[in-house]
Amino acid sequence: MIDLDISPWSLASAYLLLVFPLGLMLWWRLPLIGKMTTAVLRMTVQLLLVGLYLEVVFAINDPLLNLAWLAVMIGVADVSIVRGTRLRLGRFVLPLFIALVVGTVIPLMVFIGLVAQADNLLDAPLLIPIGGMVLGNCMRANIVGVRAFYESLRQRQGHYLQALGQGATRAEATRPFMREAAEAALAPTIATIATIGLVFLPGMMTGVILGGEDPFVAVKYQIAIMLAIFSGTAITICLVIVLTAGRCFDAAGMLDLSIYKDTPHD
Amino acid sequence: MTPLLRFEDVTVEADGRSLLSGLTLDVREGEKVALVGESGSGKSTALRCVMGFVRPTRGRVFFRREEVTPRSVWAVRREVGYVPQEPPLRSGPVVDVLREPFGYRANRSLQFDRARAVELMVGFGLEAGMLERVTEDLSGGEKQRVAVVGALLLERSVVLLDEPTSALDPERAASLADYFRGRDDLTVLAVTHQAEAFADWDRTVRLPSPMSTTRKEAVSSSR
Repeated sequence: MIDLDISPWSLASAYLLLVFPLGLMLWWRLPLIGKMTTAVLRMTVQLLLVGLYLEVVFAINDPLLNLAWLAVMIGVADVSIVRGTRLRLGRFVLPLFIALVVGTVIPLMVFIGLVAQADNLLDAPLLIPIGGMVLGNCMRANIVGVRAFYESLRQRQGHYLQALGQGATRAEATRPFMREAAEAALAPTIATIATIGLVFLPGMMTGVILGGEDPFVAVKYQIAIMLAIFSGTAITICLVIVLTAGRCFDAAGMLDLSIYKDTPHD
Repeated sequence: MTPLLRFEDVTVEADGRSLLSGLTLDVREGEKVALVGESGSGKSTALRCVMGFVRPTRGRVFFRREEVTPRSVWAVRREVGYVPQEPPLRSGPVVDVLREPFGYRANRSLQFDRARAVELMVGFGLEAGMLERVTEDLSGGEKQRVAVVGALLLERSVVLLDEPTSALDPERAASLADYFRGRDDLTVLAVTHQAEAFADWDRTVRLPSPMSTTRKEAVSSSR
């Protein structure tokens, strides 16, 4: 088995890979050097701090502390998603938080309780990394889905009003937009599921193999995690649209345009 | 006789601009009324107020003696057919677009009648085979007439038409106006620039010019 730890100097050598994107940016005069530097620095500091924190969390392995960390992860994902959608934070933070809690906890409990059959459902080494994987994928899908829903509603308001004018309820009139948003959000995950193993070996599988397990064990874990991610994504995208819609329309079913960051706010 | 539709000093303002200024108008059951006026006089806004798409800044709209409010407007939408000036037909075959509203809970008692759709389309100068064509391939005038057919298929007792003939030649415009004039069971309020096509309707109501601030009452001429 290979030695999994890498020395600080070995890690530093990985930064040499930045020469290629940096060269490209200089050659094509892309205004991304500042952003890239900040992003790489942030990633390094964040991950090192999280590494230190997780060492402590894993050592203590207290259910309440583990749950609190999961809540922090959901909170950060929540704010990041709303920022990514260019919608006003205030209207979306709470409904999205609820959607993320439900969409993360259900697949997590199935994975830890039924698939991994762990005695402790709140065991840190399972709860936190698996929760992170589900949340990370939900984040990407929700940014795509929520943005698609509210942007297409704004751009094609005429279709929505036409449906209302034909007697549709708000739910009926928004259904085509919901369908489009869910499709946009879920399509990348479905494409990933369909090509997994052929195009790339996913992180979890690689981790289990690096950890010295039989590749077949890694495959079984990967199947379960992909299903958990897909289920979590579907639950959150559906819930977030249903829960936020109640806050974004008035009693007559008119879309409140002040939810968009680029429209004047009262 | 109590009017079916009543505008009571309805004013709509948005972003410091006046979109409709003090419209007072009664439309009785079965009446065919053409609302004419210059661009910007608020004709389309008046129709949108009935549908609850715009809320009056001042004044009130009544439908069957009940004020149109954000809560009551849902019932109004189940009784009133509305055809906007540029009907936003979703992409797909015309037959699917016409059939879609029959899936709404409010229209469950109705059934999509293909033969009736063809009859109406032919009556408005459209070919029967258009049902199978996709909406992306339709001209502006064809879209308008398909939207009118859609509103009629839903068997609403009141129809609001926003510039229904703006993309039609004078002959077809007159034919469409004649069709509605002959429908005694319908109450119709149509916004138009082509007053001559609607000359035989019960009334033509002219909205004051948007620049005029002194005249508030719409000027009505009866036939």
